Amino acid sequence: MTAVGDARSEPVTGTESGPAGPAYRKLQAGGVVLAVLAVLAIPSLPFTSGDVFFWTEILIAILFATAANLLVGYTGLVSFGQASFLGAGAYTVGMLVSKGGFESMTFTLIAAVVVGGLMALVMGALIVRTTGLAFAVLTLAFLELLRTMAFKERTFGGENGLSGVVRTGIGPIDLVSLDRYYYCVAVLAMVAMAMMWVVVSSPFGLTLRAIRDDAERVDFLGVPVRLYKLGVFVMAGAVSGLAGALDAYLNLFVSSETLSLTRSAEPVLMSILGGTSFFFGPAVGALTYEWLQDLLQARTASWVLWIGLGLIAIIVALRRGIVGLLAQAWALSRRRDPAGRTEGKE
Amino acid sequence: MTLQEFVVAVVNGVSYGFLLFLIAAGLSLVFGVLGVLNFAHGGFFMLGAFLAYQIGGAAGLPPWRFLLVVAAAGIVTSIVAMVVEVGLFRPMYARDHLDWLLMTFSLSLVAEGAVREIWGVNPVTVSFPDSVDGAFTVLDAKVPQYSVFIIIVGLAVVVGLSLLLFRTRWGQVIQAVAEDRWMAQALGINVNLVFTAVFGLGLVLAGIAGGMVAPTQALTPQLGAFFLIQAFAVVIVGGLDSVPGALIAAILLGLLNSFLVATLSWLAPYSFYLGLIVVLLVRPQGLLGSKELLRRVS
Repeated sequence: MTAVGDARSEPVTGTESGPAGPAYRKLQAGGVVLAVLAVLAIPSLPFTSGDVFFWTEILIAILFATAANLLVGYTGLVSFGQASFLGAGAYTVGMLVSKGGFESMTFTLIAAVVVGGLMALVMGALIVRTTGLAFAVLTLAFLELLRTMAFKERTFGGENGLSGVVRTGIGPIDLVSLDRYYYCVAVLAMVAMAMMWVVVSSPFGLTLRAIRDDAERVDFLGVPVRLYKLGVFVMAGAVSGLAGALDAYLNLFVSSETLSLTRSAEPVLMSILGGTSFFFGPAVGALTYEWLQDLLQARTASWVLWIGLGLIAIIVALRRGIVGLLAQAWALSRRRDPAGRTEGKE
Repeated sequence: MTLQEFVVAVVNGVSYGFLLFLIAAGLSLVFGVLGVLNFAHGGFFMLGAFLAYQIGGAAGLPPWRFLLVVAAAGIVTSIVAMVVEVGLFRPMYARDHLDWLLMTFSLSLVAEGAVREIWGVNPVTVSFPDSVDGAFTVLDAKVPQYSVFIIIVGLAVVVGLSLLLFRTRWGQVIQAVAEDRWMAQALGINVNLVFTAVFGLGLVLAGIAGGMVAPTQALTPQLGAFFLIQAFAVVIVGGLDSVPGALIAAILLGLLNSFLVATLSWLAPYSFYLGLIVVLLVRPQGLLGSKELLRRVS
């Protein structure tokens, strides 16, 4: 898109995950350890144990948003259709359990990941050659196609959706109780997050960021740009499929609501809220978003108004989200500290 | 398919096409001149529909008063839009498409939230205007009068818009800015003012479309999203920066939809999305889009 004064004073989505000093790494590692401990403690804390359902939803949202940010933040592809894969995962579970009679969660969860990934492979093979507006609109069109299919075709439950999803267990572990299921989601989400972390820190992840910043130059270097985009699209699809399956087992119900535009936009909006240029930005964004939604929905029917205004403020002014703001504050405090190394000018 | 079904399909298809054109024309105009694909367009359209309800009330009105209500809804929508353009858009033109996608999308959330805040979540309905709420009999087929009413209003807008864009100095200025805003600015055209005016013009059409749709639908806060995607299909099939392309595509897609409803009805709900996907993949510049467009959409 050409615009008056095309010169961009700073990258819209930052280029690195904050200042890369050893102190920062220590801070980051400490944050991750604290977060893991907090996640494991939630069902036993007095002020959260009553809301295990809500906290399971948050974990799923974190997983889904982090997957979407592989595209938005790391590759610069805005997908408004990420719920296509959330829905694919949820409907895989719904169909296998309620129509196929499969009880083993091990099988259905793996199937959901595979279906999410395969669907992303097929869709991605068609659309990764487009970028920008065309890509965003195509993801939206595919989403609407799938939503219409889920809503209209009786095979997929139509308007009524698919009920009759039951949680059994994985292998010998019984997951009928919500508390136990919470831990199952927590462990799977952490494993998936760790895998995504490894991927984005690898040369593959660095190449993705290079593609985001200047796809043409990366192409000139002989890198198969489309293949890289397809790779990350499939990965985001597979993880979204897992998130959808976990969502289906949480609600014990699947409907075309999982394929709605709202569900699809949420992970992108959460990522902006938290900061798209940080791996944990979407996680922070998801937590904030769900918390705000919970808070506002109890008081007003129009909470989207406030979330919309907040997002506009972030896009216009803050630009790097909540984590960006924290990182900046941290950098400032380091600069004032006489012992700390100067971080250079902003 | 009988002759009666054929006549009904043609009238309904053309009428739906004109309705879609009213929505899509603004989208296309704004993209062509401002270079912004406005995801909040559906939100403004919805605002127009609810404003028509607010101004005219739920009861049936005489047709001419209904038209005044629709025009008022369009004008108020347009004023809101111009305030947004000046206050929010103007400092943002230097940003890239990523920021624009996300910002206009967030703006659509604000529109949805504002509608929920003001009019609540329960659907509201608007009656058809008096004396166009029945059906004509054409070749033994019953044709809804309101469909014909939409076609007449749509034709009037097409004529007015083409005169404005292609026969006036204002139209020339708009085309000049769309073609090369730097050169236009160098020639002394106030580009900022043109941007605001074009956004206002595009959104007056969206508001009018909202007012015209109001009697045909139960109005809910989800109205915007549904029509936005159909309008995307229209502008992309027609060629994003071409208003005449949008007209042709709107009529074609409207007819395609109404004929599928009459024949292969299971396929009809998918027609717009399939059209959108196929055109974007095979011919991204659409039917009448410029070559330049290829670079801008990707």
